Amino acid sequence: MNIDPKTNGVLTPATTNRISGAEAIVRCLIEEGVDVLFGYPGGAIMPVYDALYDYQDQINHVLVRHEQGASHAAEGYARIKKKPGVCLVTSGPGATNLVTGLADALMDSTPIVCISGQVPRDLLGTDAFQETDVVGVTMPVTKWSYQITKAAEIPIVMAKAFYIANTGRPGPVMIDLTKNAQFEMLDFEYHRAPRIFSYWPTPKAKAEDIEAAAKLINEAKKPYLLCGHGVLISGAQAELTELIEKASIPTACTLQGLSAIPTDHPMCVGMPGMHGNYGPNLLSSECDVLIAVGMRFDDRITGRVDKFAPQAKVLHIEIDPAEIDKIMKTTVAINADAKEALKRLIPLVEQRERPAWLAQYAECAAIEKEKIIDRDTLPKEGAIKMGEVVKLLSDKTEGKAVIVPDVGQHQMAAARYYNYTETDGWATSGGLGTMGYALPAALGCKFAAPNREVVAIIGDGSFQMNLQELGTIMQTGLPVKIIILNNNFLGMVRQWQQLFFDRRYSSVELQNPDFCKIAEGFSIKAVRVSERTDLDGVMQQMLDSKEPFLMEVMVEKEENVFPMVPSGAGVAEVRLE
Amino acid sequence: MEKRFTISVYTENIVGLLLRITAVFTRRHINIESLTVSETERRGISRFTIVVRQSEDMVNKVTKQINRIVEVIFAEYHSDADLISSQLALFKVDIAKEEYLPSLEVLARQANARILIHNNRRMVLEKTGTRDSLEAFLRDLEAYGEVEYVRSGRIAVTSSSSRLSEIIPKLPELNRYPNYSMDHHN
Ligand SMILES: Cc1ncc(C[n+]2csc(CCOP(=O)(O)OP(=O)(O)O)c2C)c(N)n1
Repeated sequence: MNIDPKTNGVLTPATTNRISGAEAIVRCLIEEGVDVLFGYPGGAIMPVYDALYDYQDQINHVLVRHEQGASHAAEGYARIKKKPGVCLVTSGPGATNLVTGLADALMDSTPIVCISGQVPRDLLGTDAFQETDVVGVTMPVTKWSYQITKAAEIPIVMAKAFYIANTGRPGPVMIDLTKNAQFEMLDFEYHRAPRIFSYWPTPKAKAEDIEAAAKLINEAKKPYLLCGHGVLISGAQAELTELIEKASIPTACTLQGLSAIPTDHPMCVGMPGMHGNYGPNLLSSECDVLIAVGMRFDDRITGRVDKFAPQAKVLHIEIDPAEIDKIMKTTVAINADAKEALKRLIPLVEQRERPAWLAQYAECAAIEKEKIIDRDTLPKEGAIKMGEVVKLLSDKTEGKAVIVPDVGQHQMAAARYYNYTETDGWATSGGLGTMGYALPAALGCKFAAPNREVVAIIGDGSFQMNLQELGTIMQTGLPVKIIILNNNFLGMVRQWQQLFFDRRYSSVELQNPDFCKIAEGFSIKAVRVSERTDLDGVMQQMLDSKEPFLMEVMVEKEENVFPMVPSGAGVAEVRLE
Repeated sequence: MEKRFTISVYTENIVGLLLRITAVFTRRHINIESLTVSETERRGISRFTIVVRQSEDMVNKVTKQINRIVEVIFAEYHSDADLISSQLALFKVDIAKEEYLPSLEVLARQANARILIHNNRRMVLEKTGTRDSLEAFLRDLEAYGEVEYVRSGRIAVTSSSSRLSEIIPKLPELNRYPNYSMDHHN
C-alpha cells in the first residue's frame, strides 16, 4: 500500500504501468498539474518530444524562439500562477541558454523546473556531441539540480524537483536527463511531494519569537514595515493588511513586493530603495522599529548598510534562515512562512493610531509629488515622459493589469507610477536585473492569467535582447500588450554616466531599427506614438485589441529617474534632483 | 576577530555535493584550510569536516548557507576548544648520513611516530596529531635530510554529544514512506 506522507495515509491516485522514460517525464508533468511548458527541441531530448506528441490535448508545449525566452516565460508563469513554470530543452547549447533564467529565478525566489536532454549515460565525460556538464554549469544558479541516468529514477526525481522548487523559499531546479533514460522502460508510479529528510522547507515559528515580536511592535513609537516578495509567495496579503491597519504601520513594498497591498492603501507609503520614494528612504533613519517581512535587505534597498536605519530595532520575518542576520542584525527574528507568522502575531499586537508619524510620510510624499511626480506624470509640454505613459496605463486599466517591465529607467517608472490595485499585478527581474526578461515573461504571465490584461513595458535596449519572442507571441496568438518606451538610449546607464561619470556617454546611444516594422513582420499590430495628443487614443486601441499589440512611444531622450540614492550612500541621503 | 573554526556537515551521500558546498566558500573568497569527506556510522550519510580561519560571524553565515543546501541534513560549527581533532601525516626522510639513524629512531619514538619503512637511506614515518605538532615534527626531521611531507585534512568530534545521534533514531521513520528512497543516489 502506498502511503502519502502529506495526506497521512490517504491514498493518492497512483497509476502503474510500464512505459518509456520519455513518456514517464510527460506523465510526471501531468501528475504535477502542468498544463503548459516552454521549450525548444533538439537531438538529446527528442524522445520526450516524441512522447509529447501523444499528450497534446493535455499539455500545451509553447515553442519559444530561444531557450532564454523559455526560462523567463516559465518565470512569468510561475510568478502569477504560484506554481512552478516548466522548461524543456536539449543538451549543450539548449541547456546553457537557460543559465540566465535560472540565475534570475534563484535571485527572485521563482519556482521553475527545467529539464534538459543529455547525451547517453555511456558517453558522459567523453566530449560527445552537444555534451555539457549541465549540472556543473548550473550548480551555483539553482536551488537543486540532478542528473537522471536511468529511467527508474524519473518519478522520484521529478517529484522531488517540483516539491523543492515550490516549497520553502522557492527557486529553480535543473534536471538533466540522459538519452538512454528516455528510451529505457520503467514501471511508472508517481507520488507527489516526496519526503526528503534533509529538507525542512517550512520552519515553524517559535512562540517566544512571536511574543518578542509583538512586544517590539507594541512598544514602537515609529514602526516602519518593509513588505517583500515573501508576502506574495506565501499569500499573506490579507494578514499583512490586517497587521498594518491594526497597528497603523507605514508600509513600503519592495520592488518584488509591489502589489502585495494596493498602492493607494492608507498605510502604503511607496517603495524603498535606490529609486524608491522619498519618505520611505528618508524616514528609515527615524523609525524606531523596522519590520521586514519576506525580504532580504538587498543592497539596492539598504544603500550603505551601516547607514541604514542604525537607530532601529529590527524584526525580521523570513522563511530562509540564511537570510536572517545576513545583512542586518536582528533584534527579533521569526524564521517561518510569512502567513503563518503574521497570523499568530496579529492577535498579540495592540491597536494603535499614529497620526503624527503617518503625517511625516505624507509630508515627504507632498514634497516628492511637487518636485518629481507631477513633473514626471503631468507634463504639459515637451517630449513625452515615461511616467505619464505609465500613469495613463494605470488609469485606463484601473491598476488591475499585470505589469511586466524590463530593466532600466522604464522599470522604475513602471514601479513608481502604476497604481497597483490588484494583487499579483507585477512580475519583474529584480535581483539579477536581467534585460530581456519582459517580453517572454509577459507571455508566461498571460498563460497564467489569461483573463487579466498583461502589459509588458520595455525599453528600446531591453526589447532587443529577446525580441525574437515576438515569434512565440505570434504563434500562440495570446493578446500580450507591449509598450516600448523608446529613448534611443540605454537610459539607466546613460543616467549614471551623466551623474557620476561627468556626462562621458560611453556606448549608450542606440541606433534603433523600426520596431513597428519588426512587429509587423511578426504579424503583430504596431503603432508608434510621437505626439502627446495621440497617446490616449493609441493606448485605448491597444487595450481594446483582442490580439497582441505593440505600442512604441518616443519618450524624452535624456530623462533621469529621481529620487535617487547614489550607490554607496546612505538611503537618507536620497536626492530629489 | 579571526579564529580557527571547524564546520561539520552531515549530508546525503550524492555526487556533486562537494561542489555545492565548496562554492559557498569560494563565492566569498574564503580559503579552506582543510577538507575531509568520509562516510559516517550511518550508511548513506556523509560527513564533511571543513576547517577555516574566519570571524565567528562569517562562519555563522556560511554555515547557514550550507544548511540550506537541499541534501545537507545539518551543518554546525565549533571552535577548537569544543573539539577533539586529529590529522595524519606521512614523512619520507632521505637520510643524509648513515650515522644519523640511531638518533632518528629515538626522535621517532619520542614523537610517537610509527616507522613504516626503514632502510639505511630512507625512512617513512607516520604520525597523528594536531597540525602544529605535525609541523614541529617536520622541522625536527629536516635536520636529518630532505623530507617529503603529506598531511591529511582534519577530522574531529565534539566533546559533547553530536546531533547526528539525535537525528539518527528518527531516520527509520523514513522507511514508512515507500515513495522515499535514497537508493537512486547510488
Ligand atoms: C543583460 C543585461 N545587460 C546589461 C545590463 C545593464 N543595464 C542595466 S539598465 C540598462 C539600460 C537599459 O536600457 P533600456 O532597455 O533602453 O531602458 P531605459 O533605461 O532606457 O529605460 C543596462 C544596459 C543589464 N541590466 N542586463
